[in-house]
This record gives sequence, C-alpha cells and structure tokens, in this order.
Amino acid sequence: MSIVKSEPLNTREALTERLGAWVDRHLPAVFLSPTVAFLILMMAFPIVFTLWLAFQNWIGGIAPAEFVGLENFRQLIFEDPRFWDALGHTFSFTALAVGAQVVIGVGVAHLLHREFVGRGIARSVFLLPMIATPVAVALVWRLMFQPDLGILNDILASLGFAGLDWTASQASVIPALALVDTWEWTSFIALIVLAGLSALPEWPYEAALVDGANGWQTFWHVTLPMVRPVIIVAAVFRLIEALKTFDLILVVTGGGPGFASETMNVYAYRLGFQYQRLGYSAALLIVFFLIILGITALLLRFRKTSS
Amino acid sequence: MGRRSFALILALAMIVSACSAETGETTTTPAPAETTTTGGGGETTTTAASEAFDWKRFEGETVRVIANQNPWEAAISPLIPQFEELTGMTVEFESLPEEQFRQRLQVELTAQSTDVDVFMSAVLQDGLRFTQAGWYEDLAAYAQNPDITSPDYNFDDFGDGLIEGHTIEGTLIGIPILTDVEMFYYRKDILEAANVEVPTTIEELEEVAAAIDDPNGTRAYGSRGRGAAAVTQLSTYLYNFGADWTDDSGMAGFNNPDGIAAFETYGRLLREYGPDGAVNNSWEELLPLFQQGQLAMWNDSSAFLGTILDPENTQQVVLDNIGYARMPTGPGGENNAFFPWALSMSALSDSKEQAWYFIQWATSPEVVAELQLSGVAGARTSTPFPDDIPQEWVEVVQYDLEIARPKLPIVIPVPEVRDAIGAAIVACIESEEDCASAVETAAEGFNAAVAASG
Repeated sequence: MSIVKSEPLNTREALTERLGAWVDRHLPAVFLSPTVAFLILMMAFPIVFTLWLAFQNWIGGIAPAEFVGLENFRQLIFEDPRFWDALGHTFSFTALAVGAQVVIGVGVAHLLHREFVGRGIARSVFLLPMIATPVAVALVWRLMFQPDLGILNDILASLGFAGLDWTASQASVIPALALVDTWEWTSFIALIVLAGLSALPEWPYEAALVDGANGWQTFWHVTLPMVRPVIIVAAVFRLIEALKTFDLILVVTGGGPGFASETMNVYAYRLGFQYQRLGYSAALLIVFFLIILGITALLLRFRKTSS
Repeated sequence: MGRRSFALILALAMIVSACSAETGETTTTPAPAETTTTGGGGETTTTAASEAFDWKRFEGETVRVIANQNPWEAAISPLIPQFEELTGMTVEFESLPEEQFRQRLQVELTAQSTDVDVFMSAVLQDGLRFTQAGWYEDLAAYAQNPDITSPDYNFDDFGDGLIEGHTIEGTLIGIPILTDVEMFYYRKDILEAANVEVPTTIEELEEVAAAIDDPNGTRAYGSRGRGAAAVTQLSTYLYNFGADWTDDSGMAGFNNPDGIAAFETYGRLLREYGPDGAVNNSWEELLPLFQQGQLAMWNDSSAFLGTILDPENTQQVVLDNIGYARMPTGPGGENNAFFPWALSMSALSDSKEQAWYFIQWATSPEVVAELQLSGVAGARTSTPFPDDIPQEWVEVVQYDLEIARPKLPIVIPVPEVRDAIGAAIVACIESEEDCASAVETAAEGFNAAVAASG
C-alpha cells in the first residue's frame, strides 16, 4: 500500500525537481517571457501589421486587401492636398501650443519658486488642469467656445468687447485649440522647470548680487542659461505629445470647420474609421511617425550640442 | 457600379410613388379610435391571433441593438420594456450620437463581430456599401415565415415602393422605420409682426430674412452648416436651383453654375442671417435655438416634430406660434428631399431569429401606431397620423413625400463624399468669393473617392 502510494508522489517530486532545474538553467528567459509575449502581441505585431497594411489597397467593405507597392505613399505625397493641409495644421497647432506653454510655464515656475504665503496651495491649484481628464476638458471648452451659448463670449461682452468666433471660423480655430492645450499643459512645463530651479546652486546668484545685477538680468543671464537643458527636455516631451494630440481636437471640433483643424491624427482617424481606407491610413501614419522621429532626433542633437 | 446605383435611384423613385399612394389613403381613412387615445393606446390591439403566436419562444435570451440617436430612437426606447415583458428576452439597447454610431457599427462589422444582432441603417448612407460587404441579412425570408412571424404582422402593409427601395441586389436590407422630408419650421408671430408672408421661393426667403433679422436677438434663418452634416440640408437647395449631386455617369454633377448658385445662396443666407458660428451648427445646436425662441425660420427633418412640441424644452411663446411650410422653391422648380431609416439585421449575428423578434415587434402595427403618436412618421400605409398632430405638418409631409428625392448622392463612399461636399459648404458660408473654387475642389474630392471605390 505504502509503496503504491509513494510512487506517484516520487514521480511528482521528480517532475517538480526537473522543472525547477530547467527554470534555474533558463532563469532570464523565464522571467522575461511574459514581458516579451506582451511586447510581441501589443507592440511588434501592430507595427508589423501597420507596415504590411501601408502597402495594401484595402477599403473595408469595398475592396479586399491587395498589394499595391508604394502607391499609397505616392498618392499621399503627390495627390492629396488634405494630407499637406493636415501636416500644416499639426505644425501650427504644435508651434502655437508648445511655444505658449514654454514661455508661460517658465514664467510660472519662476514665480512659484519664490517664497510667498500660500505657495503650497498655489502650486497645487496650478497643477489641477493637468489632472483633469482630457475628454472632459475638451467637452467643457467646446461648450464655452459656442458663440451664442458659450460663456467666453458672455465674458467678452460684459467687458465691452465684441464676441469672437473661436472654433467657429477657419481662421481662429487652431489658435483656439492651442489655447485649450496651453491651459491644460502649461503646468507640466512649470512642474519640470520648477524641479530644475530647486536644484540650482546658490553661488551664481550671490555672485550676481555682488556684481549688482537687477532681477531681470539675474533671470536672463543666470537662471535661464542654467535651467535651459531642463526646459529643452520639458519642451521635447510636450512637443511629442502636442504633435500627437487627438482627443482634444476630435471632441472640440472634429477637425472642422470644414477641414480647418484636421491634424494628421484626425485625418488618419477619418481615413481609417470612417472611410475604411485602411491601407492608406496606415501609410499616412507611417509618414507621420517618420516625421515625429526626425523632429525628435533633431531636437535631441540640438540639446547635446547646446549642453 | 453604375448599373447598381441606377437601380437604387429607380427603387427610390418607387418609394416616392408608394408614399403618394400611402398619403392618399391616410387622408381618406379616419383615425381608428385606439390610435388616437394617447397613453396605453398600443395595448388595445393585442388580439387573439397574436396570443396564439409564441412570443415567449426565446425567453431568457438576449438581443443586442445598436441605434443612432434620432427621433425614432427616442420614441422607441421607452417602449422596450414592453418587448421584454412580451417575450421574456433582454434587449441590450445601445444608442449613440450619429458619428459615433456609424463608427462603432462599421468597426464591429468590419471585425466580423457576431455580437451585433440588430442595427439602424440608412439606405442612402450605407445601402450600397454594406450590401457589397455582405453585412445585411435578407429580411424577406423572415417576414414571410409564419413560424417566426406573427399572423398580425401584415408585411404587405409596407408600401411596395418603400420595400423595393430597401431591396438591393435582391436582399431586403431592412424594415423601414422612419420616413421624413425637409420641413420649413417658422414663427408665425415674428413674421406677422414684420408684416411679411411665409417665403415660398428662395428669393423671398432672402427678403423675409433681411426684414426680420435681429443680429442681437432672434436671428432670421437657421440651417445646418457643420460640413458633412449639412449635406442633407443643401440637397433641397441644390435640386431647387436645378442641379443634382451626380451626373449621368455617377460622377460629381454639382460643380456647374446652377450648383454653385445653390452653394452660394445657402452660404449667404447662413452668413448674413444665421446664428453665430453657423459653420459649427448642426441640428443639435439649431433645434435648441429654435426651441428657445432664438430662431425665426429653420429647416430640417420633419421628424423633429415630437421634440419641438415637447413643452419641457420648448418655450410657450414658440409652441403657440409654430408654423409648418413647404421648402421655398427655386429657379429649378419645387423639390424636396428625404432620408429614410430602417431596422436591419446583421448577417454575422449568431442569434438571427431572436433579432427578427425584435425587428418584428418594433415594426409591428401596434408599435408603429404608438410611435406615430409622437410624430415619428412610420412606413405602414394603414397607420394614420393621430388627430392631435398639427394638420399643417401632416399636409406638408404628405405633399412633399410625392416630390422628394434622396438627400444624399447615390454613391458607395458616402462618408468621404459628404466630407468633401461639407468642406465646400463651410467655405461658402465663410465667404462668397472662395465659394466657386471650393465647390470645384469638392467635386474633385467627390470624383476621386467614387473612382477609388469603384
């Protein structure tokens, strides 16, 4: 009886031991495998699939996938004015938004760096827009922008100014969207720059004081050069994010009026999800990816040379 | 492709003729007592025959319905508990705003999802494309099958033309649930105060608008300006200026002097006399503006009647003074435009008979009669409008259904073509100088999209 019982136990023990030994021998592979599986499934596969898609003509429900070589890219670059418009909108939105955010953000960080009563509270309040859900923020701004019913024109009217068109005109829609992005993300730049400011040494300031520099001169010639690397890092982060902005634009304007605020991402979304032009949409996203990659590389090189 | 779109146009022409047959009947038949009693009127029609039909066959099972938020959806959703009680089934009813609705549905169907059982479908928007993709289950076989269709259903009650219009390549793609025309809503008190008559031509519309417009108060005229959404509203103008969306070969037919005049006039009316932000306004903005008394004249779907007459959201002064008129005519004559909705079954669904139970119930004589109480014009010829619906409205709908043409171009890539035309509408609202070239650009986009799909 006891022998019969102990036999399976022995084999089980042996199995466990063998398994243990195998795991010991391949420890790195075993530990890495969940991550690798995740990466393959969630990142490598979509990238490879997108690459494959970009060389196909595939219109959902209309034309099955068919290899067309570089046709999508040719059409995109040479025959599609909406692509170039979208590229222009993406850049002008990003330039306006990130430009404003860096200037205001550095200023705000400088203010918050000083000692004053209620500084803690001021810092927390200033960070609030960043915590809010982007789609919720966008919905609120969309209502505020409405020329007849929105509060922004009411405020302007009560101050004696004429109302603006905000997002209801092709001319002002991009600045209006950049305004929302600035409202939401300026605190991000301020936060990083503030950290940079607190890490600065005291002695250059003492030297400036001795030399008789005034407040502006100290800021311009002492503070700014010292925090510049930090500002560039913050700006690069924001730049990449702003180029990719999607939720805000889709919710507030949907790319309109007409196509006046249609950025690369919004156009890709329309192509992919509304026109079902899957291959063409993939080609556009690849071009867009290369552009972002190029800009980031340039900026990082600029940072290296400047530091 | 050319042949198919021709067939669809023919079929749509038949819808129109069927509707005229229908209108003849509705005017002569007095409303039966049970449809005019408001509230609970639907229950009176539960007859012995429908008790014999096994409504409980799929008790405990679930149907998933994807709906677009529109007047039909608003009217049917409070009735769904009745269906659940009748059948013991559960309905997962998802209703989304139009843009999200389209996107969700297409993504699920493209991904070959078996979870979608029933969906709302507009033959003008989706018909050709969904048929080509094989996403429609042919409903004819279900409607004729006595095992799963109640003897009370009376399928023949739907106008032949309307059924033909929803039959593409021999497939009945859906059971029609909502027919509409373009309605000209206006405020009688404002027009009277300015001592002007309801405009009957587009020219008169501009004169009346100039006479009554108050830039700091009630604006004279509203119609959709938000790009793609405005295309359905521009159709009546386009037709009344004597142009059409497509030419004989199925390519863009609106980039000619008549068409450009339509775009320019539409843009000028909205720029000069419309509410601020005209290029962002769709019915979601204009309907509340009209309800709050900030618009004197407004045209959109006749199906908004129920919403407009809702005293919860519409000011009393507006309620007391709403007029209903035909769309102003133009140099190209008198036309109107319509946009029917149907209830379709997904060919990929794994519970088709259950889905049919829902479609059958939602399009049954009792439910259609109940929906019609809230001004949702159904497609059954025997169901009259109740007496408490404004007669002016009924007259306009019945008149216009006879002359109505499709609100959208009959092409496969409708979303893309709508966006291209919509961009021109926005440009024409913003400035008259850029209008003609924007219409040309739209025509190029139109032709490129049609060529790519074809």
